[in-house]
Amino acid sequence: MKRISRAWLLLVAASAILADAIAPYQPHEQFRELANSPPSGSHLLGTDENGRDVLSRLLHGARWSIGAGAAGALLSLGAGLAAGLAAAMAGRRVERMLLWLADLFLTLPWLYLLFGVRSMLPLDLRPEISFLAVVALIGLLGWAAPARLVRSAALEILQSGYVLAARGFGATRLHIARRHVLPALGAVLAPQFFILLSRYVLAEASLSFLGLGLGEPIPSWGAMLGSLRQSMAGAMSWWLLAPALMLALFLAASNVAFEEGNQ
Amino acid sequence: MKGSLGKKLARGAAMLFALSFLTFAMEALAPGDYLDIIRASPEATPETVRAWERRLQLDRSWPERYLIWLGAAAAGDLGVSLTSGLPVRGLLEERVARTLWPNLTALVSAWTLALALGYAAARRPHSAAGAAVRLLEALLLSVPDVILALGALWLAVQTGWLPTNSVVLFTGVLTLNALPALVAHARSSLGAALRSECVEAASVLGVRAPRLFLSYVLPLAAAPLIALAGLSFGRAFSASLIVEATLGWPGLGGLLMDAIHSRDTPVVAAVVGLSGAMLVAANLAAESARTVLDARVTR
Repeated sequence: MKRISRAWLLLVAASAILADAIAPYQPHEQFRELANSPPSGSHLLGTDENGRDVLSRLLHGARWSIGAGAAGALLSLGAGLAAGLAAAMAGRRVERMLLWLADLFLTLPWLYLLFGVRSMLPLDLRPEISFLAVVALIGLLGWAAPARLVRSAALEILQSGYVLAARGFGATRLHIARRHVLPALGAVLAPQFFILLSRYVLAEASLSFLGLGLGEPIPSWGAMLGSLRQSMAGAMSWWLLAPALMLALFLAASNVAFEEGNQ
Repeated sequence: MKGSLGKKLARGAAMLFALSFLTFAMEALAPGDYLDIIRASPEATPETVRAWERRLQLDRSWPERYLIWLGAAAAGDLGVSLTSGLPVRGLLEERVARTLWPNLTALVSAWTLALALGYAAARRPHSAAGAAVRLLEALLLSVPDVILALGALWLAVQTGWLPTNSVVLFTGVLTLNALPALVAHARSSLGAALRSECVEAASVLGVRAPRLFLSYVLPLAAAPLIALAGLSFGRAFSASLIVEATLGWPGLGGLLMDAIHSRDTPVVAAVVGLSGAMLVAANLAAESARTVLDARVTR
C-alpha cells in the first residue's frame, strides 16, 4: 500500500510539473459548442459549463493546489524553524514566551481564524496576489506545531556529544546552530513537510471552494469544486466531480505514504 | 486541582483575548474597509461617508477601537451588524442553536457508533467485521469535509429524497465526518483495555459481554477517550463551517460566510470569538470530566 501511495503521489507531482506538456488543451481554452459534454474521445473527462477541458484543468490545477500546499508548508517550516531554534538556544525568557505563544496558536480555532483573517483582505484579488495571500495565510498561521517540534529536537541535539565537544572548543552559539543543529534537523523536518503538505492542500481547497482562496480563472481543485457549488441549482454533471476524487486520492495517498510520521 | 482549573480558565481567557486581538489587528492593518463599500454607492456624498466614519468610529486609532470593543464585548454588547443594522448579539443567538444542536447530535451519534464499531473491531481484529471497520475507517478518513458535503449535496439534488437544507442531511454529514477519527481512537483505546490483565482476569472468571464492556473495558479506556471528546468538538465545529456553507445551512458558518463577503467586521469578530469560547468551554468540560473520573490526573 505504501509503495502504491508513494508512486501515486510521485505521478501526481510529475504531472503537475509537466502539465504544459501532457495536458491535451490549454486550461482556459473554451470549446463553446461542446459546453458541459460528458467524457469522450477528444475530452477524456468531459468539459465544464464554459466548454473547458476538465482533464487539462485538473492537471494544471494540481500545480496550483499542490504548489500552494507546498509553499505554505515551506513557509510554516521556515517560521517554525526560526522560532523553534530561538526557543531552544536563545535563553530562558525567549523560550518561555515562544512556547506560550505556540500553545496559544495551537488552541486557536484554526479554520475560523483562517477565515476571519481572510475576510480582512479584499475579496477580488488578482490571481497571483491571491495565490500569495493564501500561501502566506495558511503558512504563517501554522508556525506553532513545527516550532514545538524543532525546539524539542534541537534540545536533544544540543545534549549530544559532538555539540558538547564543539562547545568545549569554544564554538559560538550561532556556529553550533548552523553547523550542528540545522543539518541534524532535516530528519525531523522532512516528514513534517509532508504532513503539512496534505493538510494545507486541503486548507487551500476549502478556502477556494468557498470563494475565498484562488478563484476563476485559476483551475485549482478547490476553485473547480467551488464553481460547482454555485451552479448546483441545476443537475450536477458527475464528471465535474473529478477534482473531488483527485483531492480525496491525494489525501488518502499521503495519509498512507507517511503513516509512520503521523503517529 | 483547583489551582490547575484556575490556570486553565486563565489560559482560555488569554486565548480569547489573543483571538480577538489578532482579528482586530488584521482588520485594521488590511487595506480597505466598510467605508469603501459606502463610497462605491452612487448616492454617497462626502457627508454621509463622514457620518458613517464617525458611526463606525473609524476616525479613532485601531488600538483605541479595540479597547472600546473589548470593554463593550465583556459587558455583553457585541455591536451592530454593518449590513443589517441589527445587534450582533441577536444575530448570534438566532444562529447558534442551529449550529450547536445538530453538532451535538452528530457528536453523540458518532461517538456511539464509534464505540460500537471500535469495540467490535478491537475484540476480533482478524475477523471479517474487524477488517470491514478498518476499511470503512480508512475510506472515510481520506474523504475531507468539503467532499463529504459536496457528495451529500449531489446525492440530495440527484435523488430528491431530502431537501438540501434538511437537518437530517446536515447532521448526517457531520456524523460521517466525525466518525473515522473517533473509530480509530476507540479501536486503539478499547484494544489496549481489552488486552489488560484485569479484563483478562474478569473474562476468565466468567464475566460476559455487556458487563465486561461496561464495568471493565470502558472505565479503563475512558480517560484517553474523554480527552479526545474535547478535541472532537473543536474539529466538528470547524467542519461545520464548511458543511454549512456548502449545504446552505443557516447557522453560524453561514453567518460567517455572509459577513465575510460583505465585510461586516463586527459579525466576523463576534463569530470567530464565539467559536473560540465554545472551544475553550468544550476542552474545559472534557478536562474536568477526566479529573473526576481518573484519579491519576489529579496527582
